[in-house]
Amino acid sequence: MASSKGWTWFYRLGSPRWFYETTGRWLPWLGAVTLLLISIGLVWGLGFAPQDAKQGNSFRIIYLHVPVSFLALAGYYLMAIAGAIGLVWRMKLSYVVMKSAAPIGAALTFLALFTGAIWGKPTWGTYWVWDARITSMLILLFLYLGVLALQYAFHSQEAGSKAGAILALVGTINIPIIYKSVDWWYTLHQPATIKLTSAPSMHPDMFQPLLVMIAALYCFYALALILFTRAEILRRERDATWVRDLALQAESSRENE
Amino acid sequence: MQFQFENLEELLVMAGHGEYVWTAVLVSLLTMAWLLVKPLQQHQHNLRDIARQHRREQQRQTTNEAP
Amino acid sequence: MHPIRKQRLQMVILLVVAASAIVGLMMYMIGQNANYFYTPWQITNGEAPQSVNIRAGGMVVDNSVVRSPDSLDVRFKVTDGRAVLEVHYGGILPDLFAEGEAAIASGQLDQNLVLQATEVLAKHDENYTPPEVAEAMNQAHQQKQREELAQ
Repeated sequence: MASSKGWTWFYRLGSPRWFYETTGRWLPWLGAVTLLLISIGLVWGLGFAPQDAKQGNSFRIIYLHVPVSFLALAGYYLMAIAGAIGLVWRMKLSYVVMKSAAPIGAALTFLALFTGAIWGKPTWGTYWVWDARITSMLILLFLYLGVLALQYAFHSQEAGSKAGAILALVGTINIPIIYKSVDWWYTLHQPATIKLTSAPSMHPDMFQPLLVMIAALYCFYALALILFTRAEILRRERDATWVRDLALQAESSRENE
Repeated sequence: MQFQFENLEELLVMAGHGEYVWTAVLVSLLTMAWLLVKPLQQHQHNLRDIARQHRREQQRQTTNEAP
Repeated sequence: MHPIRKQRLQMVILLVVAASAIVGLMMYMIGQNANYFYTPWQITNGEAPQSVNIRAGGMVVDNSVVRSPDSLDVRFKVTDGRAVLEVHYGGILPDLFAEGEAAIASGQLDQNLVLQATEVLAKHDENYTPPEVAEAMNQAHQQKQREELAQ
């Protein structure tokens, strides 16, 4: 049996109040870092990186398309894992995180499809094609929306969370399919530029701002997830004393303005 | 490394690809901004809601206690 | 681990594995049936249906692009390294369409096994290079070819 100290950490993590108060301290820093990274990444990529020999300036869409796509995929795993933890440990906070991950993931998947479509027009010659990569990303969007919808479809929050978690888990098979689709099937979408085990097939002057944007999107995701989760924690813990005190405090500081 | 465009106009037009690039940038930034503004608004709304509910319950208590 | 939690964990794992198996099988079947993409080799071998909308593509053969002087009509050939497919198209070609690059055409095969295309898309690879670097690589490549010819 794991040491009680190890599990204490885990159970502490499940306390909504602990989460709310700890993340509250992180927010200003996380916000500043996110804003900084996005600014640097976009200015660098849009203005200073060289254009592509074949695609010209339309290539600059990569500085949005790739980062949001990465996070759309990573965020799905986070949502599914949060759902699994909720199912197995019945941890309320985990369900709250899962619920928060759904709209963020859906929005990022939409952005991946949108920026991809805009990029496709001047390069491939079309806004949309039903190839394996694009179609499976569309399925990902539907999965996110499905998980979101299920949470509101039930009278009991617990039932909705369970249903959402199950759908999230069932859908995880889609992620490796999205990832490998360009290798398994003949697709219009080209294979990966950023590879796991070898160097990226991209010049460093182009690659460095891309790394900055990927880091920026990770920070942005964390920020959005924390914000959604905190708002939902207030709603679910509304009867708790600490939440009431917080609300009354906020009200009095508003009245004093 | 240097700035790739001669002036603001060139930056906007991007040799013909400007519409595509700047539309992608604009929609992305707006969506991302919404993903931060929406939960912040919800957070404020929840706090107000809870405070209001608490006051209402307090009033009900005092009315019940009154002789 | 708590026995009830252990059981729940097992259920979750079983669920994910079962769902993966089902979906994996579905995707495999779809992949086999819906792969309406044909290579020039498959078309030459008669494996592609005629008078039905299909997709075909390959590398655009150098010096094969012939543009009509008075209309948008264009003819070109694509190859997969083993066979060649002729394509006729009457629309605007995408910017990235070029000889030596990959293209995908949709349309119907006529009885001469020529693809009458209704759509031509350009495919591009995953490599990105700045213009100066590409130019330098091009010149180095041409220099190397000249040296080989001179020998």
